[in-house]
Amino acid sequence: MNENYDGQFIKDWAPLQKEEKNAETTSGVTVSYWQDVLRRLRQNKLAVGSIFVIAMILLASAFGPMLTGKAYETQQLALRNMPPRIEIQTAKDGTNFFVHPDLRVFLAEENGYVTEELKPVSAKLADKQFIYEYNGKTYYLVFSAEGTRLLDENQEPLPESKTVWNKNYLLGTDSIGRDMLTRLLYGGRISLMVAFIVTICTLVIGVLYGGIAGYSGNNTDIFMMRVVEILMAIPSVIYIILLMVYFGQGVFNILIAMVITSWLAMAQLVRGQVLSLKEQEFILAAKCAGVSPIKIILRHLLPNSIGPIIVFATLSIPAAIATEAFMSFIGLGVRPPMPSWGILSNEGIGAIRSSPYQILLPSIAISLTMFAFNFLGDGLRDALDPRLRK
Amino acid sequence: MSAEKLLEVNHLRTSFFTFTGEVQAVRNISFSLMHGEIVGIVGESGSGKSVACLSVIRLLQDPGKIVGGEILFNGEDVLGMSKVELRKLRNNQIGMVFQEPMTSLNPTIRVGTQIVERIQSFNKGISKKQAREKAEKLLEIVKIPEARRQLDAYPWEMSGGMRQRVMFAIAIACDPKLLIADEPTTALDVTIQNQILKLIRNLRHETNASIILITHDLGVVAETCERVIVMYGGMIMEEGLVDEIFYETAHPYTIGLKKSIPDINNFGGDRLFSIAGSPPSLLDPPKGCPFCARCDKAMQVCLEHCPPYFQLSETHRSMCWLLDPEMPEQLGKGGP
Amino acid sequence: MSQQNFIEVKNLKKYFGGGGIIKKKPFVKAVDDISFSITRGETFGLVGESGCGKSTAARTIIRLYHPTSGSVIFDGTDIAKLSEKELKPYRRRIQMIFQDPYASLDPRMTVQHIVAEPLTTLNISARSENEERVAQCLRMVGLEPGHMEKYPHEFSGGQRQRIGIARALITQPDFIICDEPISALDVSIQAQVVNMLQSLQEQLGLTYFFIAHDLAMVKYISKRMGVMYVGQLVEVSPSEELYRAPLHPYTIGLMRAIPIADPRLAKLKQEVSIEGEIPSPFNPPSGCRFSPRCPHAMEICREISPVLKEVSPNHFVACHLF
Repeated sequence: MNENYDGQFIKDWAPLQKEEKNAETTSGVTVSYWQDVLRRLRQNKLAVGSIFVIAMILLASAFGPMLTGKAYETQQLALRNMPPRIEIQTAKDGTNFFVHPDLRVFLAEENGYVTEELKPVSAKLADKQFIYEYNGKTYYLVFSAEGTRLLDENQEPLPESKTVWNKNYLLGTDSIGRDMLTRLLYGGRISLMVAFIVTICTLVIGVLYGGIAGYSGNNTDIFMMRVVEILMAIPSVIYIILLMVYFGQGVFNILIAMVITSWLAMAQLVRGQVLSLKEQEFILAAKCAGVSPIKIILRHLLPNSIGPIIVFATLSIPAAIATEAFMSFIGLGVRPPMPSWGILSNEGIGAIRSSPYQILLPSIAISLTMFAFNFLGDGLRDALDPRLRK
Repeated sequence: MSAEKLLEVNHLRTSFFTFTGEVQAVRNISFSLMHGEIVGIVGESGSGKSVACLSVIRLLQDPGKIVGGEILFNGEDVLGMSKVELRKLRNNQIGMVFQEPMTSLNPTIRVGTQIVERIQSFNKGISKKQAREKAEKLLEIVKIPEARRQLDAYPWEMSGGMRQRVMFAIAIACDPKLLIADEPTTALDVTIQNQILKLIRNLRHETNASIILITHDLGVVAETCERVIVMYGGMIMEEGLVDEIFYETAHPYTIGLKKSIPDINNFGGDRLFSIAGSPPSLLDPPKGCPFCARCDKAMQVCLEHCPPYFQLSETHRSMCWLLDPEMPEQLGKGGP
Repeated sequence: MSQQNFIEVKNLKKYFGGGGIIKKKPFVKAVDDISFSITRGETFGLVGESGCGKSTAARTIIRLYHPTSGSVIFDGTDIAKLSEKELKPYRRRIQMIFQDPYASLDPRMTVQHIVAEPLTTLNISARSENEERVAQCLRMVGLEPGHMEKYPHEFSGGQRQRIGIARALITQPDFIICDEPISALDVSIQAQVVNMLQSLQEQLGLTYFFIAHDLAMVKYISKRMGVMYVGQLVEVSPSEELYRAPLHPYTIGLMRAIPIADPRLAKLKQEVSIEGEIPSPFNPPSGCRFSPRCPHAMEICREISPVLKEVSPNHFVACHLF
């Protein structure tokens, strides 16, 4: 620039024409608000991962139950409490056995497909033995403090054994022989459906209520908010419990009960947003143009508050999942045999020592889903309002 | 030579690295400040005046970075200082006053406590009682009535003008060599602004600090400053004594600024003079003179090459091709 | 009076507060009995410092706030008393330009929607015509119609202000209230906007009510001016006379406080400044509101609030000195 000036170039003293000057410009890049938001969201690896996980969970819940080929309520008592991973022992003649920790013996195929139970022929309880016969051979099931072993007729352990996935029931079965996988996926459908519907209703009711309260101001606002605050004074779980005791169990009932209590916080949030925007000049300009109050709320106030509303809605999904799970867990939610993750947790508690997978699976499902939505909500919050970062 | 200069800035360049690209906020400015003088930096939004002063005391926030140049404060290299030395510099030798007094003061802490905090930051040994006495004296210097009682006031109990006086009190607490005031009166009413400008003039006599006054208002500059620097598009367009800038103006931008202000003495039925267009984009700065696109005397050379500084007197320089002695006579007098 | 007053404001008051369920909240007398008139086609300027109530006055006149009492007679009809429904036909004749170019445009709407909004709500033209009318207005304010699809954040402050002006023009109003339209703009842009407002006035025969705190600019653009102090009008007169011979002590102090962009004149200016702080509208002083700061205050000033009266032709002052 200046310091490079050494008079070595030719200076053209001709006056500049107006067109060459290009004085009136706008900023170059046209980036709309949402494009900017998406860009910031994409940078957040955790949020992107969460979107992926949520998509997987949604797909699995939506289509999974149809693909497993089993119904969530069919019971196969013989095959109850089957874990997802089983140890197959193969005898000399190629017969595969599966020894259940409950001291039952099953016939199986090598890949892990359990076919039927083998009933003992006789028992010698003093020696801690059960005796089985199959295909002309005798087998002894010996149980002791060290463990349960299946021995062949010579009282020797079977030659081969390996641990494979249960092919028949990929995630095992529960205490009355229902397929855990199908129940888990179907339960996901129920839990997620409840969570989404509750969130959408919360959105609609809360936004309308908060919007009207915030915009009206004065005594209307004071009255409407006092109602909200009084209702919020009692924890919502208590309301839900009372309502469910009155309504009885059922998906529809739990939906209603949760919707009745969950819109309160959203209404407060929306009211706050509307209050802060209400005196902005573009709202005044709309009033000067004669726009009616409802249109001002819908056309101007809400689109400009949508950031915090979306974040709040996203973060209330995991809360709804947890609430539904809790209610079903204590027996006041969805009615069995319809599964939900809470019901599965309830059923799995009893077998926590012997078949821990029965409680682990729904717990992991709940945790994973809640984590994913929480991370997504955090990511959305950062993306929608960069001022909150750092 | 350098011992007389309090501040020397050479070829300072500062940019903001955003996702859309590098915004060159300050593009190669050089100026110096002597002890005990008031210099005004005039410019509009986007001219780089605030960024320049923040760079000088290295208070830039991400994504801003000083990209090049040299800053000497009392002969010491500021850019090479460690964090500890910098803090010592800012604590003991420099005071800053910003535009919005409400956000500069902590609303939950009493005013007196905030001043005492400042005093204790550079004078570790002082007792609380002595610090409080000093705080009261400071409030008296800035002409706050009932100083002792106001020590216990909260910022929100005070008006905008009084808060700004408190900011000045905090700024001069350490008896700084340099006081930077970034648009201190822009948010204030005219009568209050008048009071604050009077305060600034008095402070100079009472404390012997050098003052940099950043503003967009030429009237403020005319009343308060001895020297003026005019910035535009990240560069210094013209620099000189206040009389030279106002009466021997040597740059089309400065002339345009002066003409844009309606003269309260005259009554025009005609249009106000206005400079067409808007400030240039600093993302993709023009390679020639930054003011070229809006200048009514622009020439081809202005578009292609950025002009050097032409010295009109020992204290007066301007960056404009119209001052080039090589310019042909028929284009008008050798000047804007 | 040969020319009928187009707009006449009489004893307009706007108080806030006073509500509350348990305990009555104190009143804030933001606008306390102001009266003035504007003839058709002229520009009336209003100046004052913060808290004087000039913005509140503007918003009350355009019925963004409901007046506490008083009347606003617009072309013969008192619009202060009309209901929202009755007010609708007047909404297209009175429009407003706002101060903050960054807050006066909805950031989520395109320029076209923003400018066309008054058309759609007031059912002035068919939807198909809207685009053409928006383009016309944008051209009038010096912007390219091609920018219609852009969002406000893509424009500079001066350009946004012009979009706001285009929005005010689209209903072809008779009267535009300008609430500090240039305060938030850079000096070089201020002149552009003021010039544009003046040419639009000549072209379209508009009447302006121009509010600002920059005395020089208001004096330049207005034929007549009023000075407000803590909710009251203290002086009203033709602009030139107000500068040449201000009568009210506050106006005199205000004039002297303006920084002059001329170093020699600045040195000559007397170092007389108004001391003290501007009183808060919550608790205005009794009697004349300027009395605590007035160098000429007398006993009567602290007791009785002076009334605006005509001291010389068309020059009104509210001061016990007269």
